[in-house]
This record gives sequence, C-alpha cells and structure tokens, in this order.
Amino acid sequence: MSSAVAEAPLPKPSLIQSLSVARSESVDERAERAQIDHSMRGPVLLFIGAAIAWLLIGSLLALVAALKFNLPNFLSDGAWLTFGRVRPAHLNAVAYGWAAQVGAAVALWMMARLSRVAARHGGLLYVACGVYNFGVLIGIAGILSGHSTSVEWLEFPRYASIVLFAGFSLIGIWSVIMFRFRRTGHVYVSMWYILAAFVWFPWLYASANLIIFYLPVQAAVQGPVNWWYGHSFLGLYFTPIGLGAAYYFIPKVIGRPVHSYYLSILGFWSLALFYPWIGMQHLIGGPFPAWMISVSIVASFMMVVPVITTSINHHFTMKGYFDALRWSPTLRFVVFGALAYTLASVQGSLMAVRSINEITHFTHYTVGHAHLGLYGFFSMTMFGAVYYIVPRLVDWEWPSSTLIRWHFWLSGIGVIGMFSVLTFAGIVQGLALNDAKISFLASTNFTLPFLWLRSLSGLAMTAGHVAFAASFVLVLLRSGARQAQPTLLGSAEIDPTPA
Amino acid sequence: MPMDITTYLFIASAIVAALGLALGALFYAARTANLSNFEAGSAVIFDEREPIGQPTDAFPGTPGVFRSR
Repeated sequence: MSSAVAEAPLPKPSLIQSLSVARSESVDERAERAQIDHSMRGPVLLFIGAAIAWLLIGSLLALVAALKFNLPNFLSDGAWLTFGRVRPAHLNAVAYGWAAQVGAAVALWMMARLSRVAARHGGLLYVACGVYNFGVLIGIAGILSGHSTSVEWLEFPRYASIVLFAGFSLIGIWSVIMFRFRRTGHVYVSMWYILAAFVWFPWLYASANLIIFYLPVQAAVQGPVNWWYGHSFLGLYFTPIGLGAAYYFIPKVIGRPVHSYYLSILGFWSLALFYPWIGMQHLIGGPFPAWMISVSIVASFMMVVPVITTSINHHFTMKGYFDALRWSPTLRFVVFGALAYTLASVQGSLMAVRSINEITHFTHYTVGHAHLGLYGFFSMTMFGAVYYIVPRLVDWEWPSSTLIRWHFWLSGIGVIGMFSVLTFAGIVQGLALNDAKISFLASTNFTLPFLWLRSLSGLAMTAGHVAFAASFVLVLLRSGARQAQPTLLGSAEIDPTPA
Repeated sequence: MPMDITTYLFIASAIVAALGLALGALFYAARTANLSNFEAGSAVIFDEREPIGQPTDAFPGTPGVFRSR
C-alpha cells in the first residue's frame, strides 16, 4: 500500500449534500484502493475492536453458563450470575456485540471497496459505533441486573433496544449514501446482500420490538412474532452478510471470478423470496393454526434453492484452487464457513420436518445447530474477512502466523466438537423425552457427560478467541519487523505457474 | 385483550413497506441491467491493479505469491 496515495486529501461533502436529491459530481472522484482503505481505517477498526471485546466477554459468559450445567453451584452466590441471566447475556453479547457488529464492520469495508469511492461522513460511523455499543453495554448490564424481557433474541430491556436500533440505523443510512454515490455501474452480488441486510435488520428489529413490546399483539401471537424475528435475524442479517463476504473474498483471494454469476444472483433473490416466511416451524406442536406452521415448513424446504446454488458456486469457484487453503489464512476460514453454511442450511431444512422436529425440539440438538450456523458459518467467515481487511487498514502484516494457526484449529475443532456432541446428545435426549417409559430425570442425566464435552469445546473456542484478540492488538501496535511477504500458513515450495 | 386498530395498521404498513421495497429493488435491478449480462458482472471486483489471475491474500502493495497447482 502506498502511504503517499493513502494520505492524499479527500473531498468532504456535507451530510446535507449527500442526502439531497441533487448529486454533487465534484466529489465523485474515483478513489484508489489504498485511499478507500485509508478513509475506512478508523471506523472499521473501531467496529472490529469493539466486536472482539464483546466476543471475549461473550465467550466468558458462555463458559460460565456451560459449566453451570454440570456444576450448578458454580458462581451462584449472586443473582446476576445465575444461569437464567448469564445464558441470555451470552447470547446477546455474541449475537449483537460480536456477530452483528463484526458483520457490520466487514460489510462497511466491502461497501466502500465495491462502491469504489472513499468513505463519506466517516464521523457518522464513529457516532454509530458509539451509540450501538452503548446500546449493547446497557443491554447486557440490564440482563445481568434482572431487567431481561425474557423474549428470546430480544432480551435487551426497552431502554437498550431503542439505543441499539438508533445506532444501527445510522449504519444503514451511511450505506445508502455510499451506494448512491458509488462509481461502479454494476451492483456486485455482495453489495446486494449487504444492502439487503442493512435494510432487513432495522426493519425486523423495529417490527418485532413494536409488535411485542410497544403495540403488543395478543399473547398467543407473540410466540410466532418472536420466532419470525429470531429466525429472520439469522437468515436475513447474518446469512446475507456472510454470503456476501464469501462471494467477495473467495474470488478475490484466488484471483478467479465466481463460477456462475447467474447462480449467485438467483441465490440472492430466492433467499429474499423464501426466508421471510421461515420461523413458525419452531412452534410445531404449539397452539397455532396448522397452515401457519406449514407455510414455514414449505419455505424451509424452498431454501434448498439458494443453498444449493451457493454451494455449487463456492465449490466450482474453488475447484482447482483447493491447494490455496494451505497458504491463505483468509481462504481457510472463509471456505470453512462456506462448508458450514451448506451443512447448517440443509440441517435446518430437515429440522422443519414435523417428525424430525418432534424429536429434536427442546433438546441440545437445536443448540448445536445454532452454533454451527452462527459460529461455524458466520463467525468463521468473519474471522477470515478480518484477516484480509485489517492489514490493509493498518498497513502492517499480521505479526504471527502461529497465532493465526492456533486460532483456526482451536475455533474449528471447538465448533466441530460442540456441534457433534450436542447433535448426538440431542437426538438421544429427544428420543428419551418421547418415550413414556423413560423419566424426564433419566433423559437429562444421560446428557451430563456430553455437557462436559460441550464446555471443553467452548474452552477451545475461547482460547482461539484469545489468540485472535492477541493478533489484533499486536497488529494495531505494529509489532515485529515489517514483512515483505504475507503471513502464509506454511513455507513449502510455491508453484508460480497458473492452474 | 384484542388488538387495537393501531396495531393492525402498523402490521399492514410494515408488510406493504417490505413488499414495496423488495419490488422496487427488483425493478431497479432489471432497469439498470443488473439482471442481464451476468458473467461480465462477476469481474467487477477485479481491476487493473488486482486483475483476474492474481491472488490477493498478500500484504498490501505486494503481489500474491501463491498459485494452486
């Protein structure tokens, strides 16, 4: 990266100019890539840093919650560390503090790159980051102090959810401005995904909060609203950002366009068409109209269309380039995430089948599925994206490939272990719960050894996060000697000939 | 407790807004030729500085150094 280019002065339009109907062409100079990165440096690093802090906090909360399964008296002297508070605090810390925030950081950076313009109104992003994190902070504090709403995925107290919504809305406004002043005529598929996610999340969050807390629908209807939001949060925010990142980073890293762009567009629009109908399958067996649940089951199966198109695309884009997984940290994490996406999506469709759902619902199986999706797919993809983005922002290479290797293996083995253990334990637990001859206590006792393994898996993932955080701090401090070569994961002979 | 008219209006508005936005985006995509000439669109993330064929998981300012067999 050329620092001379990076330091070049950028035209600074006012916020009013950017929001006005009349476009100001004078500020539409096409920016060099380094200039774009320079303009995004502060906001994106701030978002990533805050996200990593929440990842560590969320991981510690997860460990405390997991250990309480086997050691119920562990840290139970004060009410604020009881399971009923620690568990939702963990969920919200990793979902809103880590995942949603690092997703926003990666999406913001991609948005600037794909728009081919230097960031306008970077100050807006600083404000957004501050407001958003203040919302998460008072939300987590509210849950731990006993003010949780008790609505899953929406546990933040009302005073926190408003702040969080305001912070995220600023991110959305900034993205629309960038889209409006982009220099590229074609809208790349990643940009479709990002824009959609930035519109869908505020819409979902506002709608669910208003319908459940501010203009409450009848109590029985709040369940469907809750699960419509809970599932859509995963499918209409995390999924599009994760897929948008995969569609950007895999081709960029290996230097090869996506295998079939037609399939990628088909995948996006079919996701937009089918996913908003999903969520009610969580209520199979509940006191709801059968048609409502059936619609979600059908939509879950229609999701096979975007999943298959995406999987085929990723596989054939990588075909002939799998060797690159040995050398590229970014590719290693992102391809892991893409594989996990396929697996989690197919598993999700199958979980919507009534006969399967009757066994897996209310068991550890669902928790395993959630970790495969939010961690195996989304978080691993985001780790890879961060490994690509940060050196370009700080103009310094990651100081230790050993830390990256540890991070990958600890996180990878951790999430595979957690998924496997909870899936097996959940199936047996579900079969036991459906057997009238087996007592509830016996079905629960059976899972105890597996819950130890769950904690062990979580410990491995947490150790991976510590390695990730250490790498991030070291690269910010520009630790070590300046490197002329990228941090590759090995030193074997490299073949310079085209594939 | 039955829902009041405000709740119904809000839900209807939210549905109309979401549907309108989706249709608007689809119309925009078609009008701006984003639903045609697909394969050319796949190359927009590459340019003269990071062309097709060049790996980019490298330190900024240095060329990619790996190539799959």
